[in-house]
Amino acid sequence: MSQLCKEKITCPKCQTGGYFEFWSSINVDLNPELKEKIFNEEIFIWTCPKCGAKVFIPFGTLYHDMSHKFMLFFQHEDPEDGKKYESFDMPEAIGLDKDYIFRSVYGLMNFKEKIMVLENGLNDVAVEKLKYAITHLMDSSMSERGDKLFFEGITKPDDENKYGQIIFYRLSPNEDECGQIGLGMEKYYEQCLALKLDKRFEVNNCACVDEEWVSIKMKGLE
Amino acid sequence: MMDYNYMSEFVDGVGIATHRDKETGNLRWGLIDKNGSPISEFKYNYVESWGEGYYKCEIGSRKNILRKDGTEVLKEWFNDVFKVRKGLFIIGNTIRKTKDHPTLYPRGLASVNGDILFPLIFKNLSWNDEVLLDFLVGDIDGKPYVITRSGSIIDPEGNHLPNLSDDKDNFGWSGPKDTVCDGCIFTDGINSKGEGCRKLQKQDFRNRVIKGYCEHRKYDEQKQSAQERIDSYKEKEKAEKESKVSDEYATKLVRDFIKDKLNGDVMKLTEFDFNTLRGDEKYGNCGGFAFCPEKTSIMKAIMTLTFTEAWPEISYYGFDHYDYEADMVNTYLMILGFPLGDNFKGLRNFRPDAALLDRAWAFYHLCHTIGNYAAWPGGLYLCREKLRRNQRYIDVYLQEIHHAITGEKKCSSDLLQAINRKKKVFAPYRSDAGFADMCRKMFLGDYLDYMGKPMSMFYGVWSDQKDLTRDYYFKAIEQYFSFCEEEIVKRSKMIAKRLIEVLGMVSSVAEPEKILTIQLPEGFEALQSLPEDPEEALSYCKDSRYATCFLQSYPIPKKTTMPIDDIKPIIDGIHDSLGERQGIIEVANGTTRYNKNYVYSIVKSARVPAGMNYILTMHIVKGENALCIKGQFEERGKLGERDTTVYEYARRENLVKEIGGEGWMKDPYDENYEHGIRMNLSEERKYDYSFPHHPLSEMRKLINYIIDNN
Repeated sequence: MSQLCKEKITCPKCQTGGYFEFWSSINVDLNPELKEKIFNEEIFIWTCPKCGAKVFIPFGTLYHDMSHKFMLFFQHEDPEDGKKYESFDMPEAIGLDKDYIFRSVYGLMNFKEKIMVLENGLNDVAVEKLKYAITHLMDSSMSERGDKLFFEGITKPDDENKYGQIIFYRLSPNEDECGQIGLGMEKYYEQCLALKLDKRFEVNNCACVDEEWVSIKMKGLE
Repeated sequence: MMDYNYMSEFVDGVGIATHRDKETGNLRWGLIDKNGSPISEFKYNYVESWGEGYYKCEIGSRKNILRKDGTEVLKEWFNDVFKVRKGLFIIGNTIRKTKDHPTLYPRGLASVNGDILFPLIFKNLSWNDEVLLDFLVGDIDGKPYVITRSGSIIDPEGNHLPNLSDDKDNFGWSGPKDTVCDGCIFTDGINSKGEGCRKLQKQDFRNRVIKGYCEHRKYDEQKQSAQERIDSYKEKEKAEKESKVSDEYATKLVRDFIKDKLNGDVMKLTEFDFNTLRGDEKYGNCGGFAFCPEKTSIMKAIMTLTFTEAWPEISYYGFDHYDYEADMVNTYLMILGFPLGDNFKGLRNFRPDAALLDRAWAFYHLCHTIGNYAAWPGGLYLCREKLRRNQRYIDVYLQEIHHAITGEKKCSSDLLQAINRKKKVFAPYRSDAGFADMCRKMFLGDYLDYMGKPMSMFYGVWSDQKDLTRDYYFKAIEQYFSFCEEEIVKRSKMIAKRLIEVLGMVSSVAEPEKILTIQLPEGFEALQSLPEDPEEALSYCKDSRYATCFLQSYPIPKKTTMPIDDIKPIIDGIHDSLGERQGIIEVANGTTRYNKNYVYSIVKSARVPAGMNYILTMHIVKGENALCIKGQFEERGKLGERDTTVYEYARRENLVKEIGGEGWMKDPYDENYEHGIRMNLSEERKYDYSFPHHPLSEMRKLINYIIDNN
């Protein structure tokens, strides 16, 4: 179940003291309304009761989606100890199915993206690999500029794309949106096949799976 | 600035150079710019241009790709990195074979940005087209995949895609046009789903469509497809191999040779110079090697048929695969040197007269006749070449082989290794007796002494030996030539006769009566013949704890044998001729295991002052041939032990009288015969088991062995 905590907070504008309620864990099956608050970022905002100033509180949380069988350990910032990509085993006592997916996620946009990918029933490793292929192989100028891709959604099959499309939106380094990229879902399935054949990308425990993680695996840098 | 030993041309301002490290002396490669400044480290064993502005670099057996700026592309190094194409390159390793798998060459794909797109998971990986370079085709466990330039992988059968309909087949066949099937005669068997053609089943058909190559493709019914050409070549090879393994090939070649080169007369082989086969496609074919009589096809065939007794597994096929090789027995090279003009490089330094020069040339030709060749298990020839020059003479060479086989003394380590590599082949010969047996089967018995060990026979000089005097050299030549001129001819005849036997042919020369040979048990060592021995006698001896056994066999005219069918005349004849200190033990006749008739007698003869000898006379007859075996087995060590032990037993059992010893001695065939020293109770067969080393027991064991194995 979702766990609500309270922390004392002082308004940076008017110095009024108050309490901020934050969720150390969020179960979206029991509290579906919290998911929307994550996506509109309301969950991270504290409004000063006196002066109305809105303060962004970057707290970490454990996001649990029982129906889609995944858990995300979210932090806003990368860990300072440099162990971002070190995976850790989930204790057996946690009592969850073996097909549960556990991920560490850093950064709010990555958090939202990961939720969307996994809610759509997609393989997040395949999605990251596909993003990597787009930015480094199909159009390497994207990686040279520092553009990032984020999963936006999938479309239904139609006459043109009999398997549907997978849509990414492209963000430039200064975070202006630069447009959408849509590829046939065949590309996604090709990455899924690659994962079956290439054991480098197997994830058996909780890991941070993002584009940089893919790059580390590709270059053999671990 | 560095000193460079070598600089290549510059391409886009980058060149390859080599530099010798002053401290280590090692030559190292690297990249330089047009000013000669190093761009990369100079640490590589080799660097070369590798496509699209990239360079392949090597350290040891490992390779990587260098960028123009000198940085290495991959973190990991591989045994193989292939040419850079469209920013991608195939990588590979070599995994040595083990008892569980053959040598493996797994392949993967990498990008010039340093990514290994696919690790070494493919058995094969190649570009679909060396010009278009659209995609790569790789296979994993026999299943083909298509790898795109963007690093995707596709199952051509579409099994990686979700099923959209009831039809689970995503192959997407749209007809033979623009595929490998276009124009092929088998396309009439292809249905709308591409589930096979008239030649291939579904899976095989689809794999070939994906790969874009089909070895069964035919445009014309009359012409062979690539696979048909391969099949018929393999059939031909198989048939040839079978005939080479089975002696059929060798037999046919030798028969043809006798007909074409010897006018049908096998004995002319003794004079045939195999050096004259240079350029002869059929008989002088050396299988791609430079001409050398030892490597000719006819030599291999003759060796195969001649030396089957020495090397039971020998075959023409074995020669082709270096399991066996022919080698000269007596070499001319060391003593004469290479032929040079009308002389020899070594000999000419000693100013030979015309007669000696003529003799040297005759010797040179003699060395190339069949009597001077023998077949050995593969590998020994090279070892002989590595020996010191005096060791290459056959006498010393045989001594080295003897040492290696018996372990008696230290020998050339190369030779020891070569022989140990052929454990199975040399297994029967790993003893003094075995070695002697091997030499006899190779017709090299004349190089052994009476104990069957190789003798030192020659001076062992070589023509450019330091401080070699003319006198000494000519003495060595005289001795060597004299021996070889007789020995090689004798050996030639033996080989020719063997071929006659094997081929079932008739010789032009009246042959003496065929000699019967006899198998003897282990323990009997061959002895050198003495001048006074009967013609073609073979002598053996064996020493056991209580017996010294001497044996000799030689052919005799059939009419002189003892009566085979009736032993009574033999017994009577022996009775009439026995001396005062002799007695008859046994006379018997019968048929050996392989249907040879035999008859033998054993007579005992008391020695002075003590001890007993047992004398065997055995005649074996087959057809018109007869062999006489004479044996003399002497008691030694504890004399009379058998007699006294059995006598004591017999006395206690009342088989003999206490006083007078009545019952102890009697003639086995005539109770009333009282002449000489008659056979006693202890000499009965039933006591052989208790005294296995007694000379009479040894003799009976020998007789039983001869009967059971001949």
